[in-house]
Amino acid sequence: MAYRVKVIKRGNEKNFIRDIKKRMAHYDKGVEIFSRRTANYMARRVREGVRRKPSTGRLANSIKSYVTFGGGVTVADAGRKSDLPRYWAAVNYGGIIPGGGKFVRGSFDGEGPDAAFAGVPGGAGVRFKGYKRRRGGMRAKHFIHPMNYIEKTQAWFKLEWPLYIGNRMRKK
Amino acid sequence: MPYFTQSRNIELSTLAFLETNLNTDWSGITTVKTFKKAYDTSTPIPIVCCRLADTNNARLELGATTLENRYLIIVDIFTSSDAQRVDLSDYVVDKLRLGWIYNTYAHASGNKSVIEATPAGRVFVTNWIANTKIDLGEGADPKDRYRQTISVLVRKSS
Repeated sequence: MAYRVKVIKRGNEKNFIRDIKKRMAHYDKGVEIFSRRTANYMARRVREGVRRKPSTGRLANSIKSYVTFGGGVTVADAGRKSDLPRYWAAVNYGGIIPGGGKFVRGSFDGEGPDAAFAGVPGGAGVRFKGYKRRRGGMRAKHFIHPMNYIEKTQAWFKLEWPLYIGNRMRKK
Repeated sequence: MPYFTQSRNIELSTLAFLETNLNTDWSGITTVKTFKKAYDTSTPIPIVCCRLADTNNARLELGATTLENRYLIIVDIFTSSDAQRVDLSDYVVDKLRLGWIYNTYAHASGNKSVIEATPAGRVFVTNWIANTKIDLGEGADPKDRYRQTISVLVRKSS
């Protein structure tokens, strides 16, 4: 890491402090912008990773950015667990849905239970909806392919953030 | 195409490296490249699943047409106990930290079912992304019960 040492003449402290404050505000704004950009990137990776379309978009839409300032520390989050649907981990890491093999009552797009299942002609493009009172339903047997949208975003962040903030602070 | 692309070479080199080391230092560990094989009922745990998840393309320098790609490698570890999960993940991290041989792969002439590896550099970890226990919640499948994921960004030596 490189440090820049600035020597100032006595009497110029006010200007110096004003300059530091300005630069910090500029940095904080950069954090805020990049936090939004990171959340958008993560949501885009989720949308791209959908294997069976159309999707509800619930997971992608629940990824939001947050920035908190205070005590000289700026913290930015992209996607908070509390906002995400319960299945965020299964979609990211892949695996078998907990309780896999359990019979779930419902049907595809509200049709009868035999109407359209995955692998059956006409099955693609329809969505399973849970109805507790239905007699029919399905048993999830296959594992979920990992989307790894979190790791992909972290990798992107590690490469892009230093470039972004470096450029931003140089321009100031 | 007679030769495999760099992305496939990176993935296969990493898989071969982990498989060789795991077979030498451990016993009974299955190394696979896909989740399909990891979740196959005929594949017993412990399993190490190593795959290329993503590629980040970046210019080598301003104005250059050459790319310096970074590859996101994800290693999923499926074990039968928490202790084994920790031991195996530590072992994998320890092996990855020093880098490994980059091979170029090609089909053997006249035999497409065999691939031949030729050493052509090294692969280095540039960023450690995550090394986390995966908790899918109550009632997780036996294969998902003691899982760890390790993700790293790597590049090929120039």
